[in-house]
Amino acid sequence: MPKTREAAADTSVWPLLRRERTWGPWRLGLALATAAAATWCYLIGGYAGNYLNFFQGSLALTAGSMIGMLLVLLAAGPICIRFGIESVASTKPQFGSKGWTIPALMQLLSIIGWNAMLLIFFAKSLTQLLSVLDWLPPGLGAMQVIPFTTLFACAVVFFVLLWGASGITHLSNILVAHVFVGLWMLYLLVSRRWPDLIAAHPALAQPDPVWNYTTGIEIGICSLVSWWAYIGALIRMAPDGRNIVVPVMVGMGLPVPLLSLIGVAGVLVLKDSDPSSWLRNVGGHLYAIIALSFVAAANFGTAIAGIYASAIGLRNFRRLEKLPWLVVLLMTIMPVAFLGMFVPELVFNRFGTILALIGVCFAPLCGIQIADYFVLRRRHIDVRAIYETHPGSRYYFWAGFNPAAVIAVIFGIALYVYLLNPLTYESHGPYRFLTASLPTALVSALIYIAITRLVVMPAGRGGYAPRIDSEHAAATAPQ
Amino acid sequence: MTGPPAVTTTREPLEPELERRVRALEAGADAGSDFDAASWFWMVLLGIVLPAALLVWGWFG
Repeated sequence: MPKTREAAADTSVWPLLRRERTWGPWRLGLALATAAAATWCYLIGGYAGNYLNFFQGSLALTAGSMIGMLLVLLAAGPICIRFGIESVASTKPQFGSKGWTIPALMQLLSIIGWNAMLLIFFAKSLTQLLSVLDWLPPGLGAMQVIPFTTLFACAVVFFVLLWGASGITHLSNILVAHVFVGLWMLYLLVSRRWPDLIAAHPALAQPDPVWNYTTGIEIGICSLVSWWAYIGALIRMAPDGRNIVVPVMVGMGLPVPLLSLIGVAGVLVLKDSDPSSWLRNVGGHLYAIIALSFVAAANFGTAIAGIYASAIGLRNFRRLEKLPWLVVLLMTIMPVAFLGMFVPELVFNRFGTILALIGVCFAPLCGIQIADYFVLRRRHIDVRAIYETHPGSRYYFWAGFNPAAVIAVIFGIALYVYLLNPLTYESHGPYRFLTASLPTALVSALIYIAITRLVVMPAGRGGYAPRIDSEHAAATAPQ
Repeated sequence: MTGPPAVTTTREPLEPELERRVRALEAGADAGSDFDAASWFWMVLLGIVLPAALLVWGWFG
């Protein structure tokens, strides 16, 4: 894929210059909506529908999603948008010139897990579609078809992403239609099964209504907080902070809860959150073909954005920095392909665990980034130091790691698990009033601030002190 | 109350293309802008006020 130096910048982890960041608010919003709208929305809605009725589930999920989106935007947004860098690089001022590998690992694991899951759902939808069209040979089910469709999907993702970020924009212009098809599916279900929907009782609702409501909010927050891994790679394509807030909050924050309503309604009425399983029964043959085509395609859009974000994140490793884009892409896609081809049932049966682990890891990370940027550094970031790795550099801390961030993350994860066990949904303490993600983010931020003020700053580490040699001090200040 | 002590840090040579980019960002013109007042308005509206209103509606509605 021949590219000029500047055109190839979007396949590099180096900062993008303002003139290379050509996405306006609409294009960014479309790309974010395409990335957000996928089968996981139905599953997220299905989880909420286990505890809340349609009315409360809809509102709690939407509120939680918008809160989660705000957390992610405040955490990764400012650094990514100012310097044109992606999410992992934005953690170097907090975690250190080697400690960034911790969030990088979190990003890699979450994106590989999510995308393997999405491609399996793509295979399921495709199998349903083939079945509706009577093109599926007898005796073949989703699990038999998955290895082949996964390979096909990975190949398509690979070839689309050879174009870098522009591959995402080309596809998002088409695939954003899925959001509207999703809303049409919701209308279909609601209009035809309204009495059932109103009368439906959530299957796992607890006797405590406050707990149920809080759990709906928490599902929204922790689902959206997982977008931290994706957002930097996409918003860095836009030139200004002032133009990203509405596209992010509306383009990425709203489609998830809106499409999740399909899952809420599906699990309440039909005991199945995935519309590819019930569309034929509810809408008939033609509706099923149209909707299943778009459901299958939508997972492509998300997988493409995810693989792109993960590949860019991998570029932070110095050994991968200069490898051809094609090789880095292959390295990112191969684990996804392996999981989808060889252990699809293992991935499929562990969806809840993946979602839970992601929420646990990213809430503390958001708290730490917000505290560091807005409270401790007062929005002053040294972009040069982000790329310096030697022991004298500003973000080197101790051996390349910032103990304040590491300790805050560990405490944050422990607090989350205490407040809400993400695997059993057993809760303690103030969870029923505060959720788990919000206190986790807050406590992680406070621990980070305390250790930084008591230990890191007095030791002169982390670049909090004035830099004597800096001839570019003015440039570190926010515009 | 005094701030943290000033620290002398050393420069590390960067890749030429990365150096070009970092210099351009440090010069200011090629950096993106931070959130402005309108950004904060939308963040408060969409990330705090709207969720709060939805939660009140869902609970009491």
